[in-house]
Amino acid sequence: MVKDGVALLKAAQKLDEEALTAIFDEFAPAIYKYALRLCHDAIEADNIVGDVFSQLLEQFAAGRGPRTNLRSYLYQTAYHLVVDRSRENKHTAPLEIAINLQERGQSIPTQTQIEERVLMEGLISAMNTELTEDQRHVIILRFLEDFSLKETAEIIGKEVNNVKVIQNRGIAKLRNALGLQLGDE
Amino acid sequence: MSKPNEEHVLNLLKSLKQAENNYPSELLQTRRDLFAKQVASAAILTHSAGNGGGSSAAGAGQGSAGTAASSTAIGSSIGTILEVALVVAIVAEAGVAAYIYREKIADFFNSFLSPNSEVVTNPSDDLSLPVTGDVNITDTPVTETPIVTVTVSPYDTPVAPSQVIDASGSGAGTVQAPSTPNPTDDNPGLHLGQTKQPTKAPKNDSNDGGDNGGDNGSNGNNNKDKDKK
Repeated sequence: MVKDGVALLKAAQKLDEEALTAIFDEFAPAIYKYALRLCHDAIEADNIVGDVFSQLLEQFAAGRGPRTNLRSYLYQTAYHLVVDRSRENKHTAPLEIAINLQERGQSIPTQTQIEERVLMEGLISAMNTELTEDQRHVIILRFLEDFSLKETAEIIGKEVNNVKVIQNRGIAKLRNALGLQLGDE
Repeated sequence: MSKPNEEHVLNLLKSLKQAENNYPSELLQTRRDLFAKQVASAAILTHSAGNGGGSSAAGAGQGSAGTAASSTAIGSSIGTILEVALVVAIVAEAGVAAYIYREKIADFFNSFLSPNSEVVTNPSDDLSLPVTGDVNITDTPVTETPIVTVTVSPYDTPVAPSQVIDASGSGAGTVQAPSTPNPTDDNPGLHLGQTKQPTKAPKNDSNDGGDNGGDNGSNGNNNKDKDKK
């Protein structure tokens, strides 16, 4: 039986196995996607998921850990892990958030689908090359993970106004990059 | 194609969100099993720390987790026993050492408790003469002699020496110092020439010793005159 958020969190703080497993089932896929967007490696993203939940367990065992917003806490932990690993080994591999549109779509793509795929690849390329690290984190958290400005600010440890500025600059950079790509074509 | 506006970029981001890969099922299942084991071990450790023997009961129904729980409980109990034995051994060793060196320890603490008492030893060069034979040392009784300050005034009356004299001269109740007693006759002055002259012995013509002496003396003078000549 999956309890509601607050009861689940309280049960997890008491190291209830059912509650902790339920938390894993609920958040592990999302954390994996987030980590994969940032580190571009499936194995690395899987390891980050494992580390995130191990740290959560250690915090609960020590009597600490999140009291209210478990989701933000998990993303914050993942964010710090990704940042630490990116400092250790710089990944230059392209973002392979595999756009499996071709597999999902029809066998013969339409002109609109081809244009959309081109734009998508350009967007991914721009996110990897044009954005700073903070801008990439903010864009991912705000538009791919649907966090609010306040939650995003808490996760990356910045002020809300600062997050707003970072977000606007990031979007402007993506617009410019996509416009340049479209202009080249 | 025209340059994309902000709305277009946001729509692309939404499309990107829907187009992403999911967690591979194999990886997800493996990761979930690992996490479940971690949760079981953490719960066991917590229960063993809080309830003691309750951990084995909690982990008994969970297959391999139950076996791990019992082994962990046994290991923790053995560790506790070893710790207790080690502490007992240390305490016993400390007690034996304290018993063996109790005198040194007592001296050590005494030196701290009475730091001002200094032991003065005689100098190495002893100047005393060596004593040979039997030496009888008798205790001489110590008698206290009263210290009396005596002031002499010519007109004072004599007092006993044991009485204390008031040197301040304040008056009543004081005792005067002893003085020379007053002469009995009426002449308190000098007594020179008052010594009675010895009475002359009556002249005797018989040849006794005295006359011989006189004669000898005259004879002696005569001899000196002869030598000068």
